[in-house]
Amino acid sequence: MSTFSGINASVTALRAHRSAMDVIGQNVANVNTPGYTRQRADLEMLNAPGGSGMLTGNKVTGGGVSVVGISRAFDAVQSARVNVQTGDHALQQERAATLSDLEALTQEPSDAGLSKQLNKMWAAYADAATKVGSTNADGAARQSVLGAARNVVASLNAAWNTVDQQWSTTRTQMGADIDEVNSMASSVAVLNEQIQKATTTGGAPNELMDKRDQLVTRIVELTGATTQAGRNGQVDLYLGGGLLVQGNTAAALSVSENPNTMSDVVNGQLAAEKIASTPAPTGSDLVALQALVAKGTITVKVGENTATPLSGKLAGQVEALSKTLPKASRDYDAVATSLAQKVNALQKVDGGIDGNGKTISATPGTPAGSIAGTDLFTSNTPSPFTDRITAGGIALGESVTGNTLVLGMAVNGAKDGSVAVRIAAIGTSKADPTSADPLARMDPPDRMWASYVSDLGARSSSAEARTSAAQAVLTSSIADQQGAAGVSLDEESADLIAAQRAYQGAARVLTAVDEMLDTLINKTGLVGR
Amino acid sequence: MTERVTHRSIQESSLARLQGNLATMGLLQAQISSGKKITKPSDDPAGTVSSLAVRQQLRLNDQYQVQGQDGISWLNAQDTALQTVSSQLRAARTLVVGALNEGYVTDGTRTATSVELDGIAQTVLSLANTQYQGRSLFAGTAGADHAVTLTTAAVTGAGTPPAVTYAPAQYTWSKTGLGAGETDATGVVRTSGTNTPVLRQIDAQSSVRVDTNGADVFGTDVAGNGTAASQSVFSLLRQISDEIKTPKDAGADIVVDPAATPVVPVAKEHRLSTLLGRLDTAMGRVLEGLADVGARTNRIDHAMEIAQSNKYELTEQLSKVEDVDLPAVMIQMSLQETAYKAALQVTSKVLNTSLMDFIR
Repeated sequence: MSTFSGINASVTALRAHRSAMDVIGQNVANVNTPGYTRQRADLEMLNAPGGSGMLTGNKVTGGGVSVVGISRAFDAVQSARVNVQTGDHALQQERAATLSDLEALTQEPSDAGLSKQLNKMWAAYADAATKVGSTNADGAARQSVLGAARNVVASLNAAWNTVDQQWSTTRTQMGADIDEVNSMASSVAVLNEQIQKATTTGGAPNELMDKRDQLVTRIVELTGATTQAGRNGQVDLYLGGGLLVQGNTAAALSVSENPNTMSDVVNGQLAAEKIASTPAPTGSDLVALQALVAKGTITVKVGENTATPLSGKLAGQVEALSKTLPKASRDYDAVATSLAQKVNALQKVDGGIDGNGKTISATPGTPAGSIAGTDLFTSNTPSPFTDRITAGGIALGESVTGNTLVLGMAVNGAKDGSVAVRIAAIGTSKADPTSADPLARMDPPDRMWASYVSDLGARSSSAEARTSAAQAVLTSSIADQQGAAGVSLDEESADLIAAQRAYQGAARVLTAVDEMLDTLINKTGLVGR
Repeated sequence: MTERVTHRSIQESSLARLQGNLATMGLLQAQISSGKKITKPSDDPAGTVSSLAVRQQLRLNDQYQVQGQDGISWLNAQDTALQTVSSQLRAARTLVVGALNEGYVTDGTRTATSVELDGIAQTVLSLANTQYQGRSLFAGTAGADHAVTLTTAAVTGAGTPPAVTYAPAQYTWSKTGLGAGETDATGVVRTSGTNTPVLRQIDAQSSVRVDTNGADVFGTDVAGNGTAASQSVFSLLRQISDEIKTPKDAGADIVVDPAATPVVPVAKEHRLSTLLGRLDTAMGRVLEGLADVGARTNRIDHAMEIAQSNKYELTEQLSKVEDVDLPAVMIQMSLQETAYKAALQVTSKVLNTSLMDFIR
C-alpha cells in the first residue's frame, strides 16, 4: 500500500465525477432535442492492485473509481413499439385523409350535391311533362330539362376529375416519399457502418445511434418497415418481405412506372373481372386483357423483389391508388352509366314522339318518316370497355336539342307527356332483381348515389375513429418511451448535485492526504526543537 | 404507465391532450356557426341517408304541389267552359220549347229561332275547342289545333218539302289515342279506339286526370277516343236548327250508328220533341262532366292540403336530422371551454417548475 495511493484514488474520483458532470451537461443541453436518448456515465470501483513481495498480506483499500462507459437509456422494446405504432398511425391517417377528401367531394348533405342536381333534373322532366305542346311554355320546359341534365353532367365530370386529380397527387406524393425513403435508407446504412466501426474500436457512438434511430422511425412512418437489431449496434430494416437496409448496404425502394392514370387502374380491374367471367376470353382478347391488367397493377419493389407494404404511409398510398380511389371512380361511373342507360332507353323508346313531331322507331323508316331517336347522354371518352359510360366521359349528345327530347308516345297524340312522366319517375324507382331486363335490374342513379355516400360516410367515420385510436396508442407509447429515454431536468439536477458533492468530497480527501503528508514530511523530527 | 416521468413525456402527452381539446372545440364551433349537425357524411352516415331521403321527399312534395296547381288551372278552365256550355244548352232548350209551343208560326220566326240556335251551336263548338296554354281542354294530348272539327256537312234529301232522309252533320274529335278499329300493343282490337288522359301526379300513389274526354261529354258522331258513336251535341243543335227552319216531312233521319242512336220516328209532329229529348240527354252528359270536373278539383285541393302539411313535417324532420340542438351544443361548448382552460393552466404550471428553480 503506497502512501500516495490515497491521492491516486481521489484523482480517479475527481476524473470520474467530472466526466459524470459532462454527461449531465450533455443531457441538459439536449433536453429538447428530438430523438435524443439520455445517457449515463457508468461508474465502477477499481480494485486495489494485487499485493506482492514484502507487502503481501496487508489489508488494502480499493484503487478508486473509473468510468467504464457512457450508456444510452435505450429500451429496444419500447422503441420497437413506438415504431410499430408510428407505422400503423401513418397508415390510418393516410386512409382517413383519402376518405375524408372523397367525402368532402360529395358535398352531401347540402343543396350543392349530386342528389340535388338529379332531383332538379327529374323535376324538370316532370314539369316538361305538364307543358308538352303548350304554346309558350313547351320550348322553355324542354330547355330547362337540357339545362338540368347539363348540370348533372357537369357535376359528375367535375367530381370525377377531382378524384382523378387526387389519384395523380397521391401518385406524385408517393414518388416523393419513396425518394425520401431511399435517401434516408442510405443514411441509415452509412450510420450503421460508422456505428459498427466506433463500437468495434471501443467508442460510444450514442449520438450516431440516436440520429440513426430517428431516421429509422421516419422510414417506418413512411413505409411501415420492421426493424431488427443487428450486430455491433447496427439495425436492419425489412419491408414487406424485402431487406431495405442490411448492415451498411441499402436496397433501392421503387414503384412500377405503370399505372400512370387512374383510368389504367380501373381498366385493369375491369379486365381482371372480364378474364374471370364466363365465357372466359381466349386468344388475342385474353392477351389484350392481360396487358390491361399488367398496366393497371401497381407494384412496390425493394431492390429486385416485390414487396407488399403492410403499414405506414406507403401502404395507405398503395391502398388509395389501387383500391379506394378507383372504387370511388367506379361508383361515380356506375351512377353515370345508370343515369345514361335508363334515360337513353326512354329517349329512344319505340313509338315515342319528339318535339319535331317525328315518331321514334326501333326500325327507323318503318313506319315512314320515323327516326331512331337521339341519346340524351353519350360518352366522349374512348374506353376499352365500350359498354361503359364513365363519370368523367359522360356528356350531352352533340345533336341533342330541346326538340329532340322525346316526352310522349306518338299513339297518344303529339301533346302527350307520358314518357317524360316515366323519366321523372326514374329517380324514385327501385331495381327489380328478378327482371329479365338488365336495365330493370339496375338501381336508379339516385339510389346508387345515396348508397355510395352512406358507404363512404360509414367508412370515413370508422377510419377517423381508428386514426384517433391509433393516435392515442401512439401518444401513450411515445410518452412511455420518452419516460425511459427522455431527459428529466429534476433527475439531472439531483445527479448534478450528487456529482458535485462527490467531486467536493474527493477534493477534501485530497486535501486531507496532503495535510497528512505535510505533517509527515515537514513536522517529523522537530519534536522538542 | 412507466415509473419514470420526464419533462418531455409530460410535454408530449399534454400537447396531445390539448390538441384533442382544441379539436373538439373546433368541431363544436363548426356545428354552432354552421347550425348543422351533419356537415359531411361521416358525421352521421345513417343521418346522411335519411337527410338525402327527406330531401328527395321534399322535392317530390314540391313537384306534387306544382302539378296539383297546374291541374287545378286545367280543371278551372274546364269548369268555366262547361258551365257556359250548360247555360247555352239551356238557352237552346228554351228556344226549342218555344218553337214547340208556338207551333210553326211564320217562316220569319222560324228562321230567327234557327239563326239563334246556329249561333248557340257555334258557341258550343268553340267552347269544346277551348285551349289552356295551347292545349285543348277536351282532347288534351291531341297534336291538332282544334279538338273537334266538322268533317261532313249535313245532307238533306231532295224535294219540297224535303224528302224524309236527312243525314246529320258529322263532327270528329282529334285523336288522343288509337283510332277506332286499330290494334293496341297487347293485340286487342279497340273498336272505339283509345283515349289518353292528361295526368297530374298529386301524391306518391295517384295521378288525377286534368283534362276531359270531349267525346264523352259532347258526344261524337264518329267512333273514336274510346267512345262509341252517338250523335254529338253540335250535330244535334244543327239538326234542331235545320228542323225548325225547314220542317221535314214524315220519315226517318239517317244516323251514323242506328244501333246507338234511336231513329227519329216518322211522324212529322213528333220529330222536334224527340230531338228535344235528345238535347236533354246531351245536357245531362254535360252536367255529368261538370260534376266530374268538380269532384276532381276537390280531390286535387285535398291532396294539395296534405302536400302542404307534409312540407312542414318534412322540413321539421330534415331539421331534426341535420340541424344542431343549439342549447345542448352551447352547454357542451362551455364545458369544453372550461376543460380546455383548466388543461392550459395546469400544463403551464407543470411544465414551468423543475428542481432547477429550487437550487441556489
